[in-house]
Amino acid sequence: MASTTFRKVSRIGLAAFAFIALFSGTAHADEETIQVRVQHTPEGGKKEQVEGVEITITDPSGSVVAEGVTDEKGVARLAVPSDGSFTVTIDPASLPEGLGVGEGQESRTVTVTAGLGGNANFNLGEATPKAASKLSLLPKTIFNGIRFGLVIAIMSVGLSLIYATTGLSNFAHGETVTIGAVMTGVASGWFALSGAKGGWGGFMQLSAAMIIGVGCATAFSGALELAVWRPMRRRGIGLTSMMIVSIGIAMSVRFIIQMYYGSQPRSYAQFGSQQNINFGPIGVTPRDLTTGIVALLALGAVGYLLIKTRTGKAIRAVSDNPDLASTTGINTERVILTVWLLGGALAGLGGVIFGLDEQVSWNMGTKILLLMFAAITLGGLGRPFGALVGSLAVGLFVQLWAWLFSSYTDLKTMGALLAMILVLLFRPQGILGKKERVG
Amino acid sequence: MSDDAFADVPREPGAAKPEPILVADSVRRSFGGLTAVDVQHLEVQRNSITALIGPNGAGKTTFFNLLTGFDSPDSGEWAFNGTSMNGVSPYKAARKGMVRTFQLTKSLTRMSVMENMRLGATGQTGEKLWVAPFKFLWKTQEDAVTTRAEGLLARFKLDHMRDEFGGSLSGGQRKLLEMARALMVEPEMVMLDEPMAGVNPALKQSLLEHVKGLKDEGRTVLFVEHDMDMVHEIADWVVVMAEGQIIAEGPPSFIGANQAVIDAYLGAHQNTDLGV
Amino acid sequence: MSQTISNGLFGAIGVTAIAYCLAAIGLNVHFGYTGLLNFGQAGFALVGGYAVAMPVMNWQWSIWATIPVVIIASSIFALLLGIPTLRLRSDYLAIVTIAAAEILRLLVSTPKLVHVTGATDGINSFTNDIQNTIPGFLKGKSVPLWEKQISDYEMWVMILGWFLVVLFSVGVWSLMRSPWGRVLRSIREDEDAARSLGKNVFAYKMTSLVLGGVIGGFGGAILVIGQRNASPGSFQTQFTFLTYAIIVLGGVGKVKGPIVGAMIFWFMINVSDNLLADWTDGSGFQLPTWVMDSSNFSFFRWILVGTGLVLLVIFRPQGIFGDKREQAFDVR
Repeated sequence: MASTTFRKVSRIGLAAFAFIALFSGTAHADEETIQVRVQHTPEGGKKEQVEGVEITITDPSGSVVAEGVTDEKGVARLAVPSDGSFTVTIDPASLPEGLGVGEGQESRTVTVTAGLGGNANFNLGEATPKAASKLSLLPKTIFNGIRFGLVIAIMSVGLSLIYATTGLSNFAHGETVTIGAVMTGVASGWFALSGAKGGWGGFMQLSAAMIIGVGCATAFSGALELAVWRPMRRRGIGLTSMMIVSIGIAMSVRFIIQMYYGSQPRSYAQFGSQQNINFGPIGVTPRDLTTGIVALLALGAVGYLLIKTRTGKAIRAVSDNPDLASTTGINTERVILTVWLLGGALAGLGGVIFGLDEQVSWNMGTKILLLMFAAITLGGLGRPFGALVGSLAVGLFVQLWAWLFSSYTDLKTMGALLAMILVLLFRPQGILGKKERVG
Repeated sequence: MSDDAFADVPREPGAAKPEPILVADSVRRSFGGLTAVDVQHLEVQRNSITALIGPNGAGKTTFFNLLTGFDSPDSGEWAFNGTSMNGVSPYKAARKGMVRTFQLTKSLTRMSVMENMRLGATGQTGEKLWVAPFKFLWKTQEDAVTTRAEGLLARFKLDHMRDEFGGSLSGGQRKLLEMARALMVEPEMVMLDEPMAGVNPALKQSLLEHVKGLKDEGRTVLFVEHDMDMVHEIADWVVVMAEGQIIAEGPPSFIGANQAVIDAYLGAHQNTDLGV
Repeated sequence: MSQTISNGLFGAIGVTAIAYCLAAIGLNVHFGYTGLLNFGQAGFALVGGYAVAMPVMNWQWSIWATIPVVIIASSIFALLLGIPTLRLRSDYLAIVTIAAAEILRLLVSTPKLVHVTGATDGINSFTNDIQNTIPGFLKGKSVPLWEKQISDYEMWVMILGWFLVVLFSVGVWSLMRSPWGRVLRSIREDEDAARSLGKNVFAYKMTSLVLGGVIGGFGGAILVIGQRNASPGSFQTQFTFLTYAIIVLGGVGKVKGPIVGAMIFWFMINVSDNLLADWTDGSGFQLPTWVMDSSNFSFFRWILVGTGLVLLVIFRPQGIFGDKREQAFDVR
């Protein structure tokens, strides 16, 4: 059928762009424009944009005022003659194989406000029961789980190192993640203004923006250490107080971001939707593949740092016993600053990747913070390698839950948290944690 | 009475005592690859003052923790007054009569000295949830407790500090407070972990008298110390630990001349850690 | 301006302040007196709120009959939380309590349970009994308070709420000056010292968790009754953080702390909201739009709260009523 050829062609075209399939196409809903988005969330996977859907817009009298087709981002921007009420209809015949829309759901009424335009979103579902069994989705679910776990791991390793060296449960870590994503988004927006957003140009812009994002997160983290945590330690202020301060900082930063970045989730300006590359039973987008590899490399680098380098050994020494470490000539204050910078960079990187996976929003870090804490607790508080194990466990758990209990996907976070509590019941020190010594 | 009690006791590690209040067997505790405690047999004579000495790292405090339930051994058994104490939680051990103090003092820093003391009293009905809101039900008992606390504080020369916060006491004063507080519990056996550390010399003498007084009250004292003068002055019996094991037992005079003890402290073996 | 002040004053004594005050009294028992790092107070409030709303909606109970449900449900939640965590290090307690509160919130939000819990929209018509028992002297009247008019229903809920505040405050006061309270405070200082003196630390911690949890449950109950709506959105982690801000403000470990803290907190929030709304509405004194405009001023209150909390903890951790000598939350 036409859709199979269409798929083959687009797969080739996009494969040619490989990792750098970042297209242009910032969109602003213009005056008297209706933006129509068609998307689809497959079971156990992430939202995908649907291209090639035919859209018809009619006015209240029934005459057609606009027609169009959704682009590669699943979006069609159609001009309408005035503000007011319109009916947006998608043509079910133009939908890709296997996807459909509910009974009577192919039309939607949209009100266009002067100067602000209008919006219509269509979420497609499965048109026919999947011939493939649940089992066939398992490899992809496991892959997604591992990838998600790796991304969580990047962020939680930093959190764990901070806890290990200073004893602080840093509630502002989520905001560090958000800063990484948001600053990347802002920078990518600036760059996009200067011109070409497609192909290599777009790739360079996005990479530069990402570097800026990670840099900002690192700077934020380091600044906090120098301006807040170090003085507090010097004054002998205890850990509980510091934790409450981190909550206050998190709250302030979160809402500063919401105030000035806005409440709407957005994608990076150079972001584009992508088609899957297939590895046997696992279909994965180039973006997911890249970010998974980047996460793996980053974690590998951290592991190498911790095990092989002098800095890493110093970090581990301070985590184990700060007083003893300082007597051997290790500058504990410098080690702690290094840990905060490293933690910030990792959190920023995690945020950047997250911004690619799901859009950038002001509370994205907050949403993931609890999972990060669950991961490091599960792995064993104070054990950075435990953070990796815990993160993979959480990532796999979340994806497997969504796969297993497809009608309860909204509870997948709950499942992960419950699992953490259960593990703590039977193994209070976590997976890799050491049993407490008294006295 | 008790001095004679040791007359026929052989001067060997693990020697049996005529009326033991505490008997421990094969108590072992390891951390990772390190064996911290490995006590074959120990008996503590009732109503005596027994000193537990040994170089740093010998396992004395760990042994205290094990006996009082603050830590669990890998293996072993011990009995207090004939009752097995295996797996008994620390608060129950205290209620049964084994009260210990801590090497690093645990003064309740944000509570006053008097409150610290009142805490120690046992059997307070005011500590029950349903009685607590009604002051008239526990006031009389509280007054009695306060009077007793005042007496103890006076004995330890801390009465002028009664309303000061525990956190504002000096190190030596904290040691005194901890001991006084422990006595509020009216324990059968008092286990003192380095009670003299940081106490000024003028006070040490009166403290020694207090400890002797405990024996007169019918209590048993087991204490860890590095101050050999104190040991010589008041201990009826000395137990020496090194590297987790008991290497010698005997009266103070015997111990001072014992070669095994001298080796343990002075390091006849290069890899034994030195003492004080 | 007087409209702003009057809104502020009303905020200080209104239903939201009362609800947070009760939650803060409970949290004060946990954290202020016992040193328990309970980060799940939002969960207790949620339990209390739904313990009121669900029986009325699902089984047509009289709302007064839900009082024991609030107590029992909060106690059960406390037991479930406490049994695994009170034997762990305090760091674990913080994370587990936050997780538990989130689990409850997610459970109550899920569309699958909409017939029982109302899911994200929550439960709405359960307050008739309260409406019907408004005493004669209030009924039908609109009470003027400063420059605001308060409905008879709201006034009645406020009276009930403040009654609870006084009841629980007196209860906490009488407990904390007793030997029982002394044991709690010793646990806050050093658990092992308490153990070495024969105190059953686990039992005391658990009792404290239950007590503070039940009071927090009543906080949730007042909130849902006052709002006439029980929904998960009222009980996010933010609720717990605000409660902490309130007890720090008022003074941790002091009986008056939660009351004064809640009142001052909500006074300031309401005043700031009013002022900012006024300064961005297009007339009179206006803030430059790049600083703030009518679409984003409502977020500023949280920046205020967050920054205020940081400054408080660093520069005046004893809050308003705390004793400087007792100021540190943990002993160094």
